[in-house]
Amino acid sequence: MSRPILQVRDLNMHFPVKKGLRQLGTVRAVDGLSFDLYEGETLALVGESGCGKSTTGRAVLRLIDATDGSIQFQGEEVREMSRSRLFQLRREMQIVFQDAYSFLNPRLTIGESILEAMEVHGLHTKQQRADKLSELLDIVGLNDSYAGRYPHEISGGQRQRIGIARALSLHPKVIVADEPVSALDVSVQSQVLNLFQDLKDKFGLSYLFISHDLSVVRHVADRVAVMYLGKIVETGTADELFDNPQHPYTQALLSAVPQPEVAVARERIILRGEVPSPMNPPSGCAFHTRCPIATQRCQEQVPALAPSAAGTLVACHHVEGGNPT
Amino acid sequence: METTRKWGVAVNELLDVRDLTVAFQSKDKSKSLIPALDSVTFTIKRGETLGLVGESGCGKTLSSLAVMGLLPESARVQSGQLVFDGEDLLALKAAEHNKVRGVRIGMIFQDPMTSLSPYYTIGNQLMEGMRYHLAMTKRQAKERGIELLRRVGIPEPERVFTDYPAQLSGGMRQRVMIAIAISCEPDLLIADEPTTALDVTTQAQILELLGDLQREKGMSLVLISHDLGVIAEMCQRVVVMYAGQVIEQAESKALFASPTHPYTRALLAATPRLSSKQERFYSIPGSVPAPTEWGTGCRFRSRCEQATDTCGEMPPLSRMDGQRYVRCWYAPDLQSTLPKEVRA
Repeated sequence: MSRPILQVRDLNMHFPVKKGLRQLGTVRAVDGLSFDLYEGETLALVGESGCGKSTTGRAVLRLIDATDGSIQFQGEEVREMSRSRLFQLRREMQIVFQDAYSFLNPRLTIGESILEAMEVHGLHTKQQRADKLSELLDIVGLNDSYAGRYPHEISGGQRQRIGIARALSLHPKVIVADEPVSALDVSVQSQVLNLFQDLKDKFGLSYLFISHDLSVVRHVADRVAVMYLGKIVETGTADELFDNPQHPYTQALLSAVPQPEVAVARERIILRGEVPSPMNPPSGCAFHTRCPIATQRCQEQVPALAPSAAGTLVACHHVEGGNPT
Repeated sequence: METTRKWGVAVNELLDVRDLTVAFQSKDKSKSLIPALDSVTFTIKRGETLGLVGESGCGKTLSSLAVMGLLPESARVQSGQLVFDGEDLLALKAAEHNKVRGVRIGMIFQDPMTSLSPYYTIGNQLMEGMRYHLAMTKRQAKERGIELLRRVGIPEPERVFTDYPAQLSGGMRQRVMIAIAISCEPDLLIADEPTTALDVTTQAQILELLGDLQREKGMSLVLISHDLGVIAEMCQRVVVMYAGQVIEQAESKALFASPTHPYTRALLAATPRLSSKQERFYSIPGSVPAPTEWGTGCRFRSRCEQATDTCGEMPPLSRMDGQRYVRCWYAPDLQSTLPKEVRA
């Protein structure tokens, strides 16, 4: 890990909720988020539905405009980029979605879909592009015959490979992977995860890996940020965070993941209630309504991320800091 | 009770699925039959939780739809019996099946949004079964309905009773589905991927609820899932399916400690775990064969590391020691490589 390729500071993403002309309130999908993505690393954003992880991924690519904050790609402010610069940026940062079915044009063959991206960006001559196409298919483990097929003719795992091939066609530095294996069966999921790993080593890619599946994240991520209601509640290296989670939410989340083992009796923390609406997030620490150790202070003060003894940064009043700020 | 004796069903077996073979009739002129289930055989005992596990398209949902008498129109049952409490469900007329479905066998589906009607209130849908099957008055059904909502952990059940499904979160909708499914006190509850659409903390709540209800009511529970973690946590016995067949069946403890069929082994090896970090995942080459590619031999052989020429012939589901059944020619060899205490 060297220098950050992507720096996000105090990112806010607020959506007004309107009924007719009246504004009912604001959904704070992302609320004061900061993180760094280093060259060649995989940073995982994890959390449950509605925690703002996908919104963050989209805001980073400026597929949606952030309300506030700063997103720097190699030191350049993404939020201030001109249209033409943004067009170039999209070559360097690509996104892979959960279901490749929803973004592949059903009327184009697989080959046409992959070529399209290179054509739009005016890369290579026609002949070079054709060569590139078979090279890309080969990289993602498909043979040339797939180029002539249509999206509905191939399986989910193969579609996901096509999504990856298309993202790679532009030689990106960063790939935002939004739940890339969530729709796949276990046996296929492991193939695609290995592919992600191979490509990272081969092309020196950095991944912003968005997932709700902690077992998957355990294996692919170098660092992890756990989100709850638009905020990071704990972040650290994957080993620190999984071996010694500090935030009560991280602990509950990890203990809730069912494991394919019968012998070990694990201590489970079952959270009560549901994730509150991001439109009216609870005061103080947003997690206090479900937290087993919440006190008066948690209802009043918002905890800041501070280093914990375990090495992670934790936003909790009750975690003993190694070095409280 | 003739069937009961014929198949030697012991008293404690509630449902006996025997050699169930189902095919789909294609819609084109050829009217050719596409196989879907091939001699699916398993039993569920009274009060036990059985896991049905496998990847998309392996036939786990279709098996349960057959039990419910809800097979799609194009499906043809070619052979087999579904003996439920001594009665072959496949021999029932539609009207007779209505006296079983929803009363004695309840079912929960993956996505409650598609199984709840958006046009009726929760209360309306909750009372329907009780009024139809148990001939309750509206007042009785309402009282019991609110009680059920409270039991499945819905806050303010009186208010939710008058809500529409769209007003509830995914977890709450699944709780409503569970309340409906248990409203007539079924002997058997089939839960088809009940938590797949839910977040993990909600999943933990729903699994806990299902386990509690199962113990409280003494129901038998069939839990269908692709998630081996969910199965390991909930089930006493497990049936593993692959390409329309049962390929392994065992006590949960034995299955997870010593998976025997090469597919079960591969599936477990490919499942990411929280405990240990792997640099690379074990991955099964290729993908699940389509029914047209099933052929006559073992259906896993094209992806199997152990496969030999022998596997060109279909292995039977044969009994190993203890309660384990495996469909693999090499199962005895594979099992002898295991430590003795886990072989049962």
